[in-house]
Amino acid sequence: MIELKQLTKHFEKFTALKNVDLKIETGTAFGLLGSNGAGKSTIMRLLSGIYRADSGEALIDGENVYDNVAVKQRVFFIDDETVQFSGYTLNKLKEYYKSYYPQFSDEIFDKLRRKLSLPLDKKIGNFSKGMKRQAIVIIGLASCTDYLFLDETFDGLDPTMRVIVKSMLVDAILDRKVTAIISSHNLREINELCDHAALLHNGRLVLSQDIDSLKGEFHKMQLVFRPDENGKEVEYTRDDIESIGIDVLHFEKTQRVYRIVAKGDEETLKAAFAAKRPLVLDVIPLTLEEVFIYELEVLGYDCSEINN
Amino acid sequence: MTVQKSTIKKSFFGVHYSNKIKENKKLLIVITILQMMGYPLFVLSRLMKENEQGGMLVAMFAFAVAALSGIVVVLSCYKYLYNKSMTDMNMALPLTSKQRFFSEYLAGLTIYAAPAIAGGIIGAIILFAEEQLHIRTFDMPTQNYWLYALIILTGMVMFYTLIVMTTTCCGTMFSSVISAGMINILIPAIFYTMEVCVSNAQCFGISGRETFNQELYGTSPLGNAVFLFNYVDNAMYPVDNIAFGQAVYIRWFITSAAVIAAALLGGYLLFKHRKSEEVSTPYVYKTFYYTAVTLSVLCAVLLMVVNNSGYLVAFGICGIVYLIMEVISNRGFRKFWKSIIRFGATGVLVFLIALTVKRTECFGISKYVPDSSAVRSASVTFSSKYYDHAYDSPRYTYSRKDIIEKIIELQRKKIDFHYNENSKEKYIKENEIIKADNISTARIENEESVEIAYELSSGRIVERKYSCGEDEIYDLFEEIKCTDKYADTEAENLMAVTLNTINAKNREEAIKKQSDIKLDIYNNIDTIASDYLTLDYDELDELCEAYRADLKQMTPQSYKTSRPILWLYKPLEFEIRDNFKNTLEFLEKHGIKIGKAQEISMNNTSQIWLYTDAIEYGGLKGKKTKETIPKYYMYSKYTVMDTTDGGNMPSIRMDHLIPMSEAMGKGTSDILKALKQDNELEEILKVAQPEYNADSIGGVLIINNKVYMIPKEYKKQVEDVYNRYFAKLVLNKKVDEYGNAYYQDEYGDNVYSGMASTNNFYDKYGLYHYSLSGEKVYESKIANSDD
Repeated sequence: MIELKQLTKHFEKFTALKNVDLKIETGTAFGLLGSNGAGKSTIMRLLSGIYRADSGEALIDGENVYDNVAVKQRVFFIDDETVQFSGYTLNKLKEYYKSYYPQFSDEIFDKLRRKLSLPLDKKIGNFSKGMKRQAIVIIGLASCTDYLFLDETFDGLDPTMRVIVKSMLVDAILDRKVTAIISSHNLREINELCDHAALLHNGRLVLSQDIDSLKGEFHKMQLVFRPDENGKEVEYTRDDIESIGIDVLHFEKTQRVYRIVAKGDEETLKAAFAAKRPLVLDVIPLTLEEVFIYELEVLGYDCSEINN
Repeated sequence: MTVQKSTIKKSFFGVHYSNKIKENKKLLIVITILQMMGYPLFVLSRLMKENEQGGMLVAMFAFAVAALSGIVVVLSCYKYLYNKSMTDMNMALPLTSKQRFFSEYLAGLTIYAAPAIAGGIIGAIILFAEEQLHIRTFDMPTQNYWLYALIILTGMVMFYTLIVMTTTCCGTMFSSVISAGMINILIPAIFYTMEVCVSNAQCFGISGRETFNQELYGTSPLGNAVFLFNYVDNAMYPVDNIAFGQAVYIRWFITSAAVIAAALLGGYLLFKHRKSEEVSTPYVYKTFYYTAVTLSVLCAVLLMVVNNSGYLVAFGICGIVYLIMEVISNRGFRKFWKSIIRFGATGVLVFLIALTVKRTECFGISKYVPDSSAVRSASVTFSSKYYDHAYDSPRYTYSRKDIIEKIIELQRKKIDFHYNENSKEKYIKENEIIKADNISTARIENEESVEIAYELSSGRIVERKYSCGEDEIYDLFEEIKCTDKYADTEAENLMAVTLNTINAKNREEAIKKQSDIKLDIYNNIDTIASDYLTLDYDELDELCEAYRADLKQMTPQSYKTSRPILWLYKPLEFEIRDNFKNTLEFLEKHGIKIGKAQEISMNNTSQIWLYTDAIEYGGLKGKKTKETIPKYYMYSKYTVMDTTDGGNMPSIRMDHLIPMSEAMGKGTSDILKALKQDNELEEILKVAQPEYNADSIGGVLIINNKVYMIPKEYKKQVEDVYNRYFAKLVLNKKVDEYGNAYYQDEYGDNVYSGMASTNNFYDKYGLYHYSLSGEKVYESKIANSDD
């Protein structure tokens, strides 16, 4: 199990993480979501023992990771770089990592390499960006560590390769109960791969939840309200809606149609809106991406403002 | 899909070490090639007769490149410290900071030093094979080969370790390279600056070179190089160098090892505490940067100020460089005002340090006197006039405690005199020295330089240089001459020098040429040999042993009460004193007359000097008392001088400077003819002695450049002869309007001319010159003169 306790990390005057508490159960595929600079990569580096926490703890199975050989042997981190190991061939790279990870599986390596058709004796420096990614992913998977951290790993892969690499990852998670933390800006991938996700913003943890329940907790509603007794159209503001106990993440009105994204159980929301006698009330399921956007909008990270 | 069972391994030290070497395989190959072109090629070039110089140049260049490649090795092994793309994958590997740092350190060291060791071993094999096969002898002492190798290797390890330490402080390649260069130049530069400052401060008894050279040796690779050159120089020319005792090497090694250990430990601690995210920050540890820059400015300013560039120019130039460094390290002009404040603070610091050095007289080191218990040996170098012969070593080294204490006592006295005016006054009073008297004050100060060097038990060498009065030198010299070491050295020198005249190196060669062994004998002041000995090897050996035995029996007391009467070999080289029983017996056995003049012939005599009185001046004469003066009239190297200034040579000053010479005009020539036929002079010639052994003398006679002493019983006859003939030489002294004095005989011939006011003369009362009116004007008088 991974546990972050009041984890704080500063980069000079910039606070990358502030008092983050998070638990990730063993065998979980955990998605890390967040805006740029939210602290996703910092968490992964802290969990890989690359960074040392300024305060708080980054624990894996109850042990601090930094300078801990026993724990680090069970962790493999794939960052978003593609320039290292340029002078190595894939074969040499395999031997290199095999020496640090005694549990390294040649069998898995060969199988995955053949699947991706990667050459063994060609220098990695001559690989394309996508091939470099594939190479390090198969090394990471063949290292057979209990924990696998992937930071923007799918960038640079073509759609077909994304599917193949994802399936390899899923196999590993299912076969070996690997605990994987995946950060990506592609929320569809997180949606597909992960069962849990956490949202970070400005170094703080906004939420951490099971993806299904996360999606179930946010609802996009399309409403049209009845006119009053005088036949006059009723005008509701965001405050009016919130006054009936609804946690509004997004509020939008186009002519008579209200589009409201709210947090809460579907039935509870429906019951709350019933008091306003809606003429039409449609509940549209939210994608993870929408949850991400609307949640951050509440925190002031509003993409609509960019257009304005 | 089967998965290998997870095994937890505790350490990947060895794995990381070998992986680092594999990563840098190409670098290892290049350095190995360079090292093979280094020392082995150097040795081979010496063996090959053709193109020796070219081969050696290539070898030295290759070795220099290989040695400097330490920077490349460190930058390659610790690439992830300044290359961000490398950081994550390296730091995520299952290693602790300690395992990572030390495995990389050792891997780099292997890449850097292993080829050098291999090259050294190959070179050694070639060298020793060459020695065994006698192909061609090497002019360097090969028995110390392993020590040379140790010095070179230690310098390389230090160079590498210092760069590792600085690299851990840096976050970019540029700053890493700059810092690597800076640390290796800055450490010796600090000591060099201190040397220059101390030399410039002219602290009493101190010269910078001697003070800081030893600190330089073990603290930087450049210092190691200086140590190596000094060591080789010392091994090849041991006589001319400062004593390089074993303790010096131990001290150098301990210092070097301590610097390496400190740099390694410092490097590790800095590595351990540096943050991975600080890659690409020019200086991860700003303290390092500011210390290095401040020290650089300090050295540069002090050196410029010492070289008379002035504070303003020095600060101006350094300020520009400092601010450029600030712009580079801060990546722009952000907070530029802070840089100006920092430079201002540095300037104040420089000024304070310069002031402290001046005020404290080099931190008080000029007053430091070692405790005799901490001194392993002490060496003394006198100026050349105190040696008996030029063949001797210019530096005497002693480990006898009493001599060490005597040397320390001299140093303590010099310091006391310099800093405490009362001590000087007391000494002058106790020794009846007239302070205003030039001759007397010369006895206690500013006469001759004496260099003292102590080798302390810690291996440190303390060197001082003082101007000493002749009394002080003489006292010390007496002690030094009365040692077994001096006796052995002198006896061996006598043998070596004598054999050298027949081009023989050993007994066998000497026996073949025995008829050629010839030793000249000189008596007192003569510059012409008065006799000679012809010896075979065994007789020469016997003479040397006799001489050794006599020297060994000599005590400071017997040295003071004896006098030199003969000299062996070249002019005045091996002194034989009147109490050298064994040597004198040997000489007499071989027909040498001791203490008697050869028959003095007046034939072909063109010049005669006769002095009724004589005052000695200058030289190694000890305290001028009535008891000691006569003995020193006859001291070995004295030449008769008739100029005021004896120059650097000891001299006898006479009260009459004009010889009786045929060349001086008709009148003088006539007087000389009459003198040659004088009966009283005939009497004097019969008692004239080449040596003198009495409390006072009756006169001095010089005939054909040979000096004879007249015993005191014949003083009246000397005065009679003098008054009859020599007193007539100068009857008139005329001084012209320009101050030129002309001395004329009874016929009006000029027998001497010179500046009346600047030509000083001596008589028994002291130093005088003639005034324009022709009166004697005494400039100083002998302390215990009768007047």
